[in-house]
Amino acid sequence: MTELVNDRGSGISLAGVTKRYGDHVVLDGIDLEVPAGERVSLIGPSGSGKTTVLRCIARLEAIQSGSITVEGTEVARRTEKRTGPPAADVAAAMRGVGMVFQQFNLFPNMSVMDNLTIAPTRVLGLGAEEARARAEGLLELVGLAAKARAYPSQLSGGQQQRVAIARALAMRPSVLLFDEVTSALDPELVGEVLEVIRGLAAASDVTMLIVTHEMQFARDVSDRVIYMEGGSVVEQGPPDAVLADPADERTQRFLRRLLDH
Amino acid sequence: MNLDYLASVDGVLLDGLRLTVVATLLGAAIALVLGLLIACVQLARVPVLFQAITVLVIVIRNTPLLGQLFFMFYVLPRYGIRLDALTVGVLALGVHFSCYAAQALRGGFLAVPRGQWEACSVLGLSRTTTLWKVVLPQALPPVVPTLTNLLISMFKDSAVLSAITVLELLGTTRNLASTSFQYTTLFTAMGLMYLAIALPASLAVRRLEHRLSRRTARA
Repeated sequence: MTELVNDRGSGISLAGVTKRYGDHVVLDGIDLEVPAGERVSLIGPSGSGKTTVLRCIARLEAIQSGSITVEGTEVARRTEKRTGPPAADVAAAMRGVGMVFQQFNLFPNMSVMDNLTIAPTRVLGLGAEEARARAEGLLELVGLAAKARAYPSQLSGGQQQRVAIARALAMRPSVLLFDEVTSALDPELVGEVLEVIRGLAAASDVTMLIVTHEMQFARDVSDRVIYMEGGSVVEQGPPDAVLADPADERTQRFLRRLLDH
Repeated sequence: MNLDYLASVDGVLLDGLRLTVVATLLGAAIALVLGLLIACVQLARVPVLFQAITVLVIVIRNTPLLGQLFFMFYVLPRYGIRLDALTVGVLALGVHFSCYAAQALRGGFLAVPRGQWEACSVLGLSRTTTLWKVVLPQALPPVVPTLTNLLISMFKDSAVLSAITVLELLGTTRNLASTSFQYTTLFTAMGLMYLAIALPASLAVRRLEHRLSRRTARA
């Protein structure tokens, strides 16, 4: 299933990334290397900064210091430092980054098909027929081939999120960012979405950064788990090590609290 | 009511009505485009332009339309801007109502969730595509009733154009009355003509509002 994604990926790198809102430090000098093809799960309590990591990589948030490199291109740097690669290079690198949001963020004024074809036609310059064929293939992949003409409001939350995954894939990204993609779903709909992501992980070599509260899923799908707290990386390693036998006391406390519920 | 007299001047009155409708539609086109621009400037807080527009909006919303009309009709020519009365009237209507349209449009924009802009940004869509294909189609429908109400207001308020010699419906009626003295007949007919257009439009807005509220209730 190599046609799913670009294979030119060289991953993501964060060096000393700091994000502040006023005096409040959300990310406190984060360093992170994610080589192409790796699946990394970010876990931690709310407010730990894990979602902000994804939002900074996606350029939805400006950073106050450090730099972020995607596919070998520096796409974000501290605000005062003006020199950087040309905007066109940044845009080209960012085309390789797809993101799936907690609230789906499908376009409610468009059919499922139009949600999937708007970016490929307008950003990648695909012909209408080609974009359509690509969208149909992706809807098949997420099990929603019959819903091409439906509108988002006619779908369940789980179906909407599967469409959102397909929409991100329609750009053939080499990096996919998943931001708490099951947190807004009714419990019985979580499984179908995680199943799609598991399938994707098994069938492609796309780089994945996953912010999640689903520990079993993180364990199944990731090569590495990172525990964050207070805007810093506390502990990281193979899922079995971090989730089953955490070294740091803060990680232990967090996981214990999860089990209590 | 003197129906025989009315029958002898109905063509003149209809010409007046036609001009009222034309002035309203042209004014509405200006108000919509300008209102959209004002809303964008206010939302994006474009420096300098934002302050200038804010002052303009304050002045226009707190002075009478008739005064603005006189200002444009008598003051602009002193600065070499000579326009015919109808053009001035249409411009004044457009600028006046653009300030109210801008407020409604801004509300519509603000009601579009942030996540919609973010999804566009992550997909790499240009600002133009984001605005025209994603944001506007969501921002406009909820404010259509408000905009239509403004259109109806403008239709009625266009009567002030008679004060700067534009022979729209009110001006025509008054002209006819000043020579024939058929006040009752003429002004009753005039009233019915305004009603014939404004009333169905108002009812249509009410039905539209009803449909919209049902749709949001379902979603």
